[in-house]
Amino acid sequence: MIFMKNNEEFNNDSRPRDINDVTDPVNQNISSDKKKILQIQDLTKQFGELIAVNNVSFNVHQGEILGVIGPNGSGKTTLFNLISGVLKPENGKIITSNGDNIVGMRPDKIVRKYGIARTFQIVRPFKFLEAIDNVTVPHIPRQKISKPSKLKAAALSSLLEVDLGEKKSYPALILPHGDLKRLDFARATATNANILLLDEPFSGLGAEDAFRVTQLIKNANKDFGTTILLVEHKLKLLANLVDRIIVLDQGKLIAEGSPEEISKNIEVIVSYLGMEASKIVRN
Amino acid sequence: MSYWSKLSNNFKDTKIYEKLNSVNWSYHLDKIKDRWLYIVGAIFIIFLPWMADWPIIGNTIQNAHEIDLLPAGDSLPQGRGFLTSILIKCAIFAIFAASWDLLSGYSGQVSFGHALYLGIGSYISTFYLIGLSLKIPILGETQIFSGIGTKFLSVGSVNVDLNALTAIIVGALVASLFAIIIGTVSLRLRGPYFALVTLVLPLIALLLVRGLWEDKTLGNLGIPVNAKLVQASGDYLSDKQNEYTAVLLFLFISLLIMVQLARSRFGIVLQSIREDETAASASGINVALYKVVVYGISAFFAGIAGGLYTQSVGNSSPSLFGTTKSFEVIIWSVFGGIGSITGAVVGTFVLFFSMNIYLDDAFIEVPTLENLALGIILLLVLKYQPLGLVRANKRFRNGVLFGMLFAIFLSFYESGKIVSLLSDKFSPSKLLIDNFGEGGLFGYIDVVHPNGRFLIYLIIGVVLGYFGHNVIRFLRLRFWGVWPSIGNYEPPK
Repeated sequence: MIFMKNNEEFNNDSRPRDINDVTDPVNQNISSDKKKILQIQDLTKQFGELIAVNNVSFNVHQGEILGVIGPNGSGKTTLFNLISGVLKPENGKIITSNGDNIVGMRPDKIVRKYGIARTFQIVRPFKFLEAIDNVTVPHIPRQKISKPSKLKAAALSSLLEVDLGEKKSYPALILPHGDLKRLDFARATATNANILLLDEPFSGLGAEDAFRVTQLIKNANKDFGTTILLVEHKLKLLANLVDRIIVLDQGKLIAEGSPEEISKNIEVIVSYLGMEASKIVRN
Repeated sequence: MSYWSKLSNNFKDTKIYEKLNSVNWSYHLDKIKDRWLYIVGAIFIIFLPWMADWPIIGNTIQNAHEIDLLPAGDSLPQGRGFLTSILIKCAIFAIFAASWDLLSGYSGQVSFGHALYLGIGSYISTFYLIGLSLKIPILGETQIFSGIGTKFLSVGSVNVDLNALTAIIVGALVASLFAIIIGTVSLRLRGPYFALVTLVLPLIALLLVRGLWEDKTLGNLGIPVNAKLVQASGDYLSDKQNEYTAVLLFLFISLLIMVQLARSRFGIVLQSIREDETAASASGINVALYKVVVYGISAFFAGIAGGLYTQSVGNSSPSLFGTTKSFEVIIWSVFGGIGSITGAVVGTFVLFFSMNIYLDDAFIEVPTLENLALGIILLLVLKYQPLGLVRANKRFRNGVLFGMLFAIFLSFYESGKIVSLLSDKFSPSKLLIDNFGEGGLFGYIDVVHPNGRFLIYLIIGVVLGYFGHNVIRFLRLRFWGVWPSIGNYEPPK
């Protein structure tokens, strides 16, 4: 009976099973009614006199890919640091789907209990560890007493997902940047996360590697129903990938909507190009 | 077959892939594949006391007799005993160095005051044996340890004192407890700040032991300890050998535990903390907990070393808390190879042994010269082989091995034990003594003493071993028709 019940739940799961479900404009209205997996309310962070994140509030829905854009220094990375628990905000709440406020919690607890994992803008591999040990680390908290072979198999499978199986015994310090970006991605997904915070996953990548990462993000969203938050500068890359975009400028949230709406939004153009240039674009 | 796996198969064919696969990464990581070297090393450690009549080691013992370091008597057993007593200290400090390396090499929390736990282990084990009562503000005079006698268990022909064994373990557990309390407070600090805290703590302990608690600890004199792990029978040599066996058992068991810890998933987590704390905690690792746990484990083994040292030397003195011990342990571990347990052991045995047995005699008249020599060796290791002796690159390691064999061969050759036919025609010792006998080589190295000559042979051997490869290559290229400066093949006319 228990199995049956679980099965029913699985079938009635509201996660999108197909990438087309998400990008379909008809379904998009439904997605706004979907379960809010993360609610960010009045989040504020100050570094001395500089207000890095200023009263930002938005919701993240289950199973969506949310793009976060903004010019340099607009507080995107600080926002991610606040959500993942690296920094503590001065004010505001971050509420998960359980209704718990995760502000002020330890980063590792946020990862393990609430399934919010992140990658870094500048890759941070464990340099002197082999590639396979790099992805073993996030498996360890969930497999403290399992057999070593089981742990190794789990690590190898998450390494194979990002197509680094052949380089498993190389230390991370010799891997090229593209591989490190994917290794970072593998390390985040290996924590069994519900929500992935990807901080500029395409930075410094060539066309081929960027395509690989795009496929990885799409697969994670489609196959596992992972909710993904994504920081990126280039609107072009985001347009085909994300369902919704929020725009930050000098710590404030200035726009929220689909990629098309955002690309036509005057405020966004002003913040990226400045007032004078935006007049030319408007004309 | 997917597109990407096809692409990576193409990558497999490229030269880069082959080149990367041909590199032995075990020299860069803490993975040891040259097991035979370690097996040879372990056998060497075990059987070293029986080599007391061999030329290099025997000469040192002769010298020890001359300066009345040893009691008079039959020279060979006495010499063996002397050698063994130094090896006992080597083995004890090897445990200490390995414990430092587990903390600082693996989890990256550099401790500049690890001698604190050596001292705590030593004093607590002593107090457990002789008893301790303290005045506690509310409770008044309270007896903490009641003091215990001896309780022997006969193993073969020797009697093992079980109470002394308990004392060592109690001391180690208390050291571990102290470390957990201190670590909970101080391990929130990162990098240099934590190092500063650890630097200060043993100095405070030293002040307390010398000054405030002088009535209990007897100040600078130290507390004498009569208990020994292995009961003394009166025969100097057999006592020392039994003690060495006991200490080696401790060494191998604690090494086994530490190496297994370092290789397990616990060790992987520690290394990830060393590489990047933020990334480790972003992977779901409770960094603070792991750091405190490893600090406790490390202090436990340091405490065991302290207890063993006390029972070996016969007293627990405040010098154990001194900065000398804290820094020596860093030098040993860095020399052997930081971030590898076996490296710390190799470094301790090589450096402590050569400091006490060998380098004393190799230099003339300047007492601190061997310290200077060690400093220079350490600088050279840090500059050219920063991963240490056990993970030195293959060419360097083979150079050192060749140098050792070369020097040992020449020392045996000098003594006339092997190849005595040629000793009249070619004698390197005569050559050295005739030219540099007065005043020494460079004014410092005493070539009249065999140990001084051994040092010179070693230096020549290492240079030959390291650059000999180049010389042979040059000669081969010169005379077999390939011009080395251009690198193109020119067939001989």
